[in-house]
Amino acid sequence: MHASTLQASSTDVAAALTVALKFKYAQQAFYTQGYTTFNATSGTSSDKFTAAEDNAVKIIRDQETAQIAVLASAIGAGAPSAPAPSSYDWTGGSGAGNGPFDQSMISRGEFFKVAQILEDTGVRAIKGQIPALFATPELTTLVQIHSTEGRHAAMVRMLRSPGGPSYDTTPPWPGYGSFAIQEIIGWDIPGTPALSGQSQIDIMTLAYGPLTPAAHYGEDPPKSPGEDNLIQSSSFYANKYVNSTNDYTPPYAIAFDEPMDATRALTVAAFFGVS
Amino acid sequence: MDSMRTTGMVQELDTILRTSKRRDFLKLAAMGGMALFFPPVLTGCGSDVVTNPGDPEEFTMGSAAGPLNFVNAYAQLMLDFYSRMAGYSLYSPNSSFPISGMTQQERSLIGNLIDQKGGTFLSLSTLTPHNVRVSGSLLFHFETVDFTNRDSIMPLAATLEDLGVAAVNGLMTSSVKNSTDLALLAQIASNWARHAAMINDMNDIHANGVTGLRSSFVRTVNGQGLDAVTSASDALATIQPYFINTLSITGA
Repeated sequence: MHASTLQASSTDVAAALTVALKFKYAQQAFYTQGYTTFNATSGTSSDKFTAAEDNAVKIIRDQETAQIAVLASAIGAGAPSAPAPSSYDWTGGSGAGNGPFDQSMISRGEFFKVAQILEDTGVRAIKGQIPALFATPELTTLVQIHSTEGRHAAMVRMLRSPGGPSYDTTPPWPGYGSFAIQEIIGWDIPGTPALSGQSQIDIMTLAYGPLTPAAHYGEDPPKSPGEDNLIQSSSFYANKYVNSTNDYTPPYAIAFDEPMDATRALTVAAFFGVS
Repeated sequence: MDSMRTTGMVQELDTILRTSKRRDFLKLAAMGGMALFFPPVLTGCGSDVVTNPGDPEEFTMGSAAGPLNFVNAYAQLMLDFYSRMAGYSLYSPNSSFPISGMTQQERSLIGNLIDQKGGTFLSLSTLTPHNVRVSGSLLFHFETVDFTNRDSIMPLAATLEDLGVAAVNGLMTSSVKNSTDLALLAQIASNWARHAAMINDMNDIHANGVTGLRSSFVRTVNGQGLDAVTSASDALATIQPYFINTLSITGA
């Protein structure tokens, strides 16, 4: 029997689900604090959510809470308990409290940038754990959480476009190459300077791949995509119908969300105090 | 071929598949981490369509190719659907959206969906052994859909997107034969979940405005925060009306 068809041990299953649970704990704490800060009626910040943002953040927060219960139950006695809210660092400062997103609980625009990082990385982190659950009873739960996470990630991205979903600002999916980074920190690279050693770009580079990716896309012969599987790719539509080039470069990579292994996902999360 | 029955988009892409040189196949397959999933049996040469256009198609869920073929067929359906929405066809490639009331922003994103559904189709077609893959044999019809009427087309788009996510989730949980195919479908599932959230959100914004309530992005998610899972058989019942081919599932 091929190794990939063997069922995972209960230890492996618990480890996979725990990666997801760590992201869920962090997201739940993030949205809870964010909602208290920015909610449309009684938010403590002068910057208030619109009705659309208020409702969406509340929905996402409540679904994170519900997923925590499901995951903790599936893991059982070995499930880690919820970290104290104060253990997180929403500035992205690895606990120092003075990271490059130091306005994330002051300005709701910055809040949604961090939300996007947590959601996009959450999708990839969960995806990275799914294969380990092949042929286990817990697979269905993680699959269901995974596509919910995709919906959350898309919605956060759409909320960041003032006029609704837009290809030109933050499309519902990560753009290719440096676009994925620019979608978060804006189009005026190099963006916000580092406050505590890590810049927003440094964090983005771990979450989305390098700002200037290796140009293996479309090369002949193609280099191994194993160089960096985070890079999204190009467009058939644009070439055929906008540029009229008859270049059938297909949008392979952008049609596939990339997985991220636990080590890298938790390295990204560690900027925000996840341990 | 009757242009009312197909936009030609699927056939156009299939022609690329059949006429590309092997080197091009490898180039295609090498993108986005796909080489990992490249099966050694595929050479990219030779005749490859085992079913004539419009003939019945059977998805054998007892085989490794069955679940991938089902997703491939679903992707082709969505590619054809959005191509009609955008007014593209082999026969009038420069036509524009017949649908009224769609913003330029929305049209641009529908163009992206055409890209990405086409990407799923092409990828799965190159990754599935040529003698069993569903490609070039599927034809579609949408006589019941008024492509000039937003109220006719966008609710259907949302239904098909949400169902597609649930169907891929179902194939992941009960049909894939190994963890490699499971990982591949996971890459598609969240991408389609993003598409589903977007179409639902477009409908919310159309109804309530961009600052109004926008809750439909998770309309398939239950109180436990878990998204829907459906069997291929149940999904097929909804999508069969849009296929000219009679589709069937065995070994589900």
